[in-house]
Amino acid sequence: MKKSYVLMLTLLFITGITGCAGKQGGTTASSAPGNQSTEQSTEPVTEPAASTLKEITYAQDIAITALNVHGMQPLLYPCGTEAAVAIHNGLVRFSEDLEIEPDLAESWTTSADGREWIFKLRQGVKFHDGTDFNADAVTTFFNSMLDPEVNLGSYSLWKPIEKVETVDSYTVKITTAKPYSSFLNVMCHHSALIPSPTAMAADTENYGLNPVGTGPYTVESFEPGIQLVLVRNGDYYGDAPRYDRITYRNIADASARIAALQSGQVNVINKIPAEFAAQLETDPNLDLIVKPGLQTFGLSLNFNNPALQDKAVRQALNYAIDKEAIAAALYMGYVTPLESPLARYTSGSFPVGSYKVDVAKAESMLEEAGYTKNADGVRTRDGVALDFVLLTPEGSYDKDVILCETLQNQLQAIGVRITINKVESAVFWDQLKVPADATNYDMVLFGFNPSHGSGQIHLEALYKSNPSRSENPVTWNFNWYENPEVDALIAQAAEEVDPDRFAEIMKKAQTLIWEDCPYLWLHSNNIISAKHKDVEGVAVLPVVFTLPHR
Amino acid sequence: MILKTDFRQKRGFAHGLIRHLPGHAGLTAGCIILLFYAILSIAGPMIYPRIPENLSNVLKSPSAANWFGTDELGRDLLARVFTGVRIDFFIAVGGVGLAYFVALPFGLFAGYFGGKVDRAISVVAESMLTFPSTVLAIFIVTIFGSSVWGLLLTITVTQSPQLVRYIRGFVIQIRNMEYIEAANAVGSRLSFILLRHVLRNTVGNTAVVLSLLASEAVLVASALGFLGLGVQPPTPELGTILSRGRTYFTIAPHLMIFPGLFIALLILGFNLVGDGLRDKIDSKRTR
Amino acid sequence: MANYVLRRMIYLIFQVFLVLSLMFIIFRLLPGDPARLVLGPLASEAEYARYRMQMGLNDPISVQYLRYLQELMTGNLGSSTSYSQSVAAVILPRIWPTVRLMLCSLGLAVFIGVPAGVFTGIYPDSKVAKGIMGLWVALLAVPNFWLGLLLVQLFAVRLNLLPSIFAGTLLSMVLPTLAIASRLIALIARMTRSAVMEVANEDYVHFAQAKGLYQWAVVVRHILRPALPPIITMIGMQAGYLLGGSVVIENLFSYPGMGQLLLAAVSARDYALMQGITLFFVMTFLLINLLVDLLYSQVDPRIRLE
Repeated sequence: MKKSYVLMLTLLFITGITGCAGKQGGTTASSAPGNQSTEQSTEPVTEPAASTLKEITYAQDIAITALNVHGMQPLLYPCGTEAAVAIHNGLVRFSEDLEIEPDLAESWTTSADGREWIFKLRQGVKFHDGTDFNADAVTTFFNSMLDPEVNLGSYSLWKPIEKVETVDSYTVKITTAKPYSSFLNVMCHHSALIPSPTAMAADTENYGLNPVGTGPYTVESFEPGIQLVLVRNGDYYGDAPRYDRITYRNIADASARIAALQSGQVNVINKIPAEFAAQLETDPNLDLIVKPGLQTFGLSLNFNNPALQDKAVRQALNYAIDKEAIAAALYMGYVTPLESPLARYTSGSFPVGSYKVDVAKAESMLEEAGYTKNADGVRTRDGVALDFVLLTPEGSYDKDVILCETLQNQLQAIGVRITINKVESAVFWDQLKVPADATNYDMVLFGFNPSHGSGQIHLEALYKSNPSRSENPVTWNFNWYENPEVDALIAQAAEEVDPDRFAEIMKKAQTLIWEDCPYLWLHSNNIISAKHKDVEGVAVLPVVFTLPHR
Repeated sequence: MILKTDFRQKRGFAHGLIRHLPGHAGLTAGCIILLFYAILSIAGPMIYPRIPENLSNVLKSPSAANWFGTDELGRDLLARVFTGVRIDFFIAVGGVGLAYFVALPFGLFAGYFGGKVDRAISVVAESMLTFPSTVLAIFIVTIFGSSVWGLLLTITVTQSPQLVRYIRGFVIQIRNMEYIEAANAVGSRLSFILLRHVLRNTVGNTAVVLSLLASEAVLVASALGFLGLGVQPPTPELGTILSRGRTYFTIAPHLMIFPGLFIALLILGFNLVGDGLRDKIDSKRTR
Repeated sequence: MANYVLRRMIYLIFQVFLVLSLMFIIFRLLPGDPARLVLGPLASEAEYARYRMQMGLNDPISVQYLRYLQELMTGNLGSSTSYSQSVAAVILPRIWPTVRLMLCSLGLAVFIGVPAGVFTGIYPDSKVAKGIMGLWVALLAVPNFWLGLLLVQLFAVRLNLLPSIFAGTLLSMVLPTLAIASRLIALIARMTRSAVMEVANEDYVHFAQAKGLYQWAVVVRHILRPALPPIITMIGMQAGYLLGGSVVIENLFSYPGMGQLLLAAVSARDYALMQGITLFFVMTFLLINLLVDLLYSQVDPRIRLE
């Protein structure tokens, strides 16, 4: 027995050191091995240019493999985009509250019919390779974005734009086929970041390896998938860049990423899971940044299932789930239960209600609808059982599988049986994009992130009815929800450029959808990032961006 | 110091006994461990048919109420671990067992007949071995899907080539023995020779290999679970529980410690049995 | 000898071809549509179709296979969809780091494992030996991903002695190497021990002792040398583990190796990249085997290469 005895001792020894040390809550000193040239300043620095931290390292969760974000939106969003935004500018950009701010365009006007947008461009700006920035640069690039063969990833955003014209060397006119309410959102989107026309023309295919923009930083070296180093652009027209150098690295594992931050090897990290956020908050050397996100989560209810066609059933399901408890237990309070199909900060979003947990009400609603519990405890009515298959990806969303497990438990309590079918992230979308009769799920855990910030596009993508049942869903209405009133409102909102009228229409649409419950509404996420306290302001945007350069 | 000692007791009875002892103790320990796991695998789900969650009691450290603490949904970790061993245990045992049935004919023929048959079988087996087993496992599980059968098949596919190689080696060793020649000379039927003489004499060595492969299988199965390619939730599986517990390590280390411990213990069990058997077989042979 | 090497190389090429073809089919069997993964959720059906057309994914498998072979002949490994670069460009910078990690882990394992094995082989009954053997048993049973996590928590976060992610420095190689080498140390030590024990009883050892040779000279010259072949074989067999078993470790430590690349490629269904990496794995494995066999014949004069 000696061998096993020694084994036990050894294992206990190892776990003892690590486990017990953990309970003491020890944090590491800020003297960090392996961190180059940092000086630690003790007074808070208010002016960006005076920061003594000259070089920072930002560790992201996904590797940056290319910086040509305008053609595609690869699996690698948002990390490549975060870097691209430091290198390029668009005509306009999002502020931290998703307001539209001027960037390369100083001002803009809309025509009376809402179809024409005239942008006055900033003068005296040069791209990193010396090319002048002017209206031609904008027009050339935007016209290529209007070409579906080139713009493979975001074409649907650009389709409503009819043409882009140069009025004079610093004025651009963009015409949309019909008034386009999300037009400015598209202009803030990463597909509208403007590259140097010279660089693009010289090497379109490999542009992603040598991007040239007008931004505060330029590329010093780029090892795709491993490391990206940016250096400051002294000629930048806007606020002087804070740092001399920003290094982008990737650490896929969250605990490793946090360990790197705590040990001082990196200065900024993104995508912090909720369970770590709580402990990072108490760490005096680190600053936690929490911003509400735009991604909405819910269980999409498949209207092809007869039981789910009954609105009472869908609403009962919503009442059965304790979203607050889930937010507290699973996400440590770092998610917000939904009050609308849209998350806050999405354009047009408006709180329209809440399905506060009420298990008794859920059960009575089901009873009234005629679903009574059978011998197995599952509710049935005329042979139709509330027995559903729940499809979920694994690893796509934070805590996706465990979330499904608790939903399974909670629904079981009211007599609804769920069988979980978890699939690999890579194949998840394939399962959804099938014609109506080919669906192999009754419910789907789905999170949708409108990276452009437009609530109208969000609603249209998820809730506009599909034209044909024998074809794949157009965008993401894979639960085949149909409400002609909602369709009409969505179509109206698409063309409503007046902000007040837009808000009205959107509010109506959200109210209807909320009541219809095509989803079991859950929560919207928070974007959680962290930095060393010596790192000056890192901007975190609800469109999932963590931008160390702002 | 062994050199001096052995000079005196080189092939003595005492020497055999001394070598016997450690093997014996390890073997016993291993068998006890495996028996424990076997019982858990069968009885686990019967003792804990349902593991209730409790969202107000999440991530609690081990206490009197929950000996192993609770997980992120407030479920009792002890119950989860005890019902979780069955997947890894059955997959390891089943997968290796199945691999044995698949590999046996190939190894037997390759070793006994040699020549072209051997060449053909060896080429295929070795080609499959050129691929790191974890990576191959990832591919296969992705094709077959997340399910117990998928995992079982994965283990079978990854372990069979190795088994073919080992069995072939043992058969070659035996083929050259005199009693095979004798059997042939007497005119025994081929199937008789194969089954009676060859097979029976490989059993000992094969048992050793099987237990070691089983321990590897547990590693692969839990690694797959760790990478998220395990079974469908909410079925507990040790590697999956471990992987989920990873992010909570600093606030709830018990989530990673106990499943990891149970994986390690199972692997240990197989290793001890394998080593013990090997020592026993070796000590039987005179030197 | 040159003859032998030549024959083995030809055999190697054949095997590589076989595995590559097999993998080609297996990869295409993997469910999942690369178009969706590359273009993201904002694209519509039309764009997916267009992308598939552009990448030739709609052609029957046989056509795709032939195209791949053609390209391979000209040295073109294809272009990676998740990196928008050629596969060769993506793989090349990772070859040396992967090999380096392998060599370091192997080196550490041999450096610690062989002496430990020799020691416990010669003094099997001493308390120290028993303690060491217990440690091996533990090391063998511990899953290396678990060990990696524990090591990071202990050395990087708590004690702040070592970097937690790979930063190009030698110091940052320590933890990943340890995590991978742990299992190897145990295996090599065990193998060394049993090899040493077998040899220690041979007549010529006692003869050498009787001759009056100094203790350690006996050990090195007469015990270790014949014990080398099984150790070398073991190393060869573990080459597969070194290559593939480090996948999780590479992820944990942000180490720019092949294993991590492969996982990412599988998630993105980047077929061309997966094939390229497969090619690398298979060739490395077979080359190592060849090396092992050659070494084997050098170390043990009784072995003849057939």
